[in-house]
Amino acid sequence: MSAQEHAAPPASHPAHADFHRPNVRAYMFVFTSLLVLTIVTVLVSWLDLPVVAAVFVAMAIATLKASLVLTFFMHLKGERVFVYGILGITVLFAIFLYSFPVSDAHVLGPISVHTNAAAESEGHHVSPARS
Amino acid sequence: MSNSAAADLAHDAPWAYRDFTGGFRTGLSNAKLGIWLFLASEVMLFSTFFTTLIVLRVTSAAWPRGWEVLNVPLGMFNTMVLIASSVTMVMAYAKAFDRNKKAFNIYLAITVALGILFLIDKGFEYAGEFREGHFPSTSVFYGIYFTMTALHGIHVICGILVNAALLLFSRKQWDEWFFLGRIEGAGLYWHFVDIVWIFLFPALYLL
Repeated sequence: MSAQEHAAPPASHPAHADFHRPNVRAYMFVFTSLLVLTIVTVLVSWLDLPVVAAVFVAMAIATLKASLVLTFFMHLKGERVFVYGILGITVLFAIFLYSFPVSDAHVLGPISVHTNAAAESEGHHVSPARS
Repeated sequence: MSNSAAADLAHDAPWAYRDFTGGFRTGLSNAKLGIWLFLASEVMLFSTFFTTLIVLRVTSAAWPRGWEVLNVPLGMFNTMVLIASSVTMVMAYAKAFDRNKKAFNIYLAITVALGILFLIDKGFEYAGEFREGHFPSTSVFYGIYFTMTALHGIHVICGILVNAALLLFSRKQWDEWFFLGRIEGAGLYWHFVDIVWIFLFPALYLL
């Protein structure tokens, strides 16, 4: 056997599972989907939805795009369970990281440094907060 | 795996990993385990900035809409450049898997070029904002905008350097047992950088 004769380890070897066989057709489908979803994201932002709805829609589309990249480009589909475990723990801690400060945000209230007063005094246009 | 089996594998199949603990107990090579753990730490890094963005926005009395202050068409073009670079990166892996060295080099070179294009566009964008008098100190919005995009830009630079190094190393390391794993690891990092921008673009430019 030579290195040139084999593109991947035989199926009987543990190393076989470590390399994911490329699926070019899937890659092209994901590429097209990502481009379309990017355009959709921009078009949806033109609709001038309320802030909560706009954030929800934008993040939902972004999550879908990220899922496609994770599943097909990063070969999460068919990956070992251990990787799912690592990602699951990460997501759990990320949820803690997001939720605790945001839930306490109402305690802070509007602080002068956040009002962009300095920007307005210098003539920079600052839109009022959207409802 | 016995020592003799590992020796046979290293001789006959240089694409195979050697797990120095003596076996694939996790089902993963050390390299792949390491890169996923690193990406997990990077998720936490960017999560802190996204949390900061949310808290600053929720508590501010005034927050500009991205469309009004940032160059959305350029941002959208940059998004597509990064998506294209992700595709060429995974195609480089596919060609390395199929032992097609010429095609691998072409796809990886295009990945590096697209990464550089992204940085050039970002440079033009920053220059435009500086020309209009917008700096990180201008407002909280610009502070978080410049911080997050600059941090992402640093990650893009690191990815470009890694991919360029692999392009250079492919001359001598193509037949080494670890090379395909290195391509896959670099690809995982580059796709992560793309995923960060997938969230960053709408969060800063469109909302």
